[in-house]
Amino acid sequence: MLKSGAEASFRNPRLEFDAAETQLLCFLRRRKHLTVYHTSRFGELTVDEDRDVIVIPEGVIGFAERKRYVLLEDPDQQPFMWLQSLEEPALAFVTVDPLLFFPDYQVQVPKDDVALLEIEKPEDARVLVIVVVREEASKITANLKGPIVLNPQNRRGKQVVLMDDRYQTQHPLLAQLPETQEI
Amino acid sequence: MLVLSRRRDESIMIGDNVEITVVEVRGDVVKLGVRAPREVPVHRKEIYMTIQEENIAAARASAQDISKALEAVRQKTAAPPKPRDTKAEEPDKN
Repeated sequence: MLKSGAEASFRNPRLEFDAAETQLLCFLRRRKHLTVYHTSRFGELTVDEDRDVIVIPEGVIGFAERKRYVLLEDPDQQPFMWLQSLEEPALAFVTVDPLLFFPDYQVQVPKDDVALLEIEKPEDARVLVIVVVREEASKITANLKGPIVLNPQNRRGKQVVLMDDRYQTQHPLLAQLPETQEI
Repeated sequence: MLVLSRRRDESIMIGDNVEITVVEVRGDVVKLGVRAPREVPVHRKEIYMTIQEENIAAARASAQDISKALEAVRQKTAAPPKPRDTKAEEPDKN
């Protein structure tokens, strides 16, 4: 269990139970390759190493050494998702499916990147863009110049730099939303 | 900084795997060809720097930022937009 020595010494009365619990959790973790990661925003995350981990071999630009992430998709926070680093507890990006906000958005993934991600069909790829929430919440921007392209099959990803001049790093997220929307 | 003079069609090598060739010189524009292994990312510096700055700004997001963003989206629309069926197009050109 991930407990500091100091904390454990206060827990002596539960030592037996903790040992059993630890054994059980170790067994479950071995079976499913579960690992607990500490994050600065969300506390401890239990990650299934075989199913949850997204590898970005080249890192996110500016964070080249950070290659392993998980995507936190909380239904209450849809459509926003956190891309959380597993190597740096404080590193996480707010991301969103760009098509919800920019229906005409087109991502042309260079051939080399298609090969790197082993994408077989374009429709298999999942595209996310990184969002910056500014002081004034209405001025949220999305980086359409550098989308994160993921292959959900092998959980590989890359921040692709688009050559397309229509796209910049700071597109107002809410600009294209209709004022009212029928439910 | 190492400064090298090169003519058209001449190259420099960086390590064993990266080759940069002067493809064309016209006025104050130099066209360079870069041959590098797939794992070496190559970008125009200014675009790379802008994306890097944006990523650094994004990485400072606090846990409450999603709530702020959600609130802003809800204020703008009655409900968050519905997912669409279409995906981004990624024609395998090149």
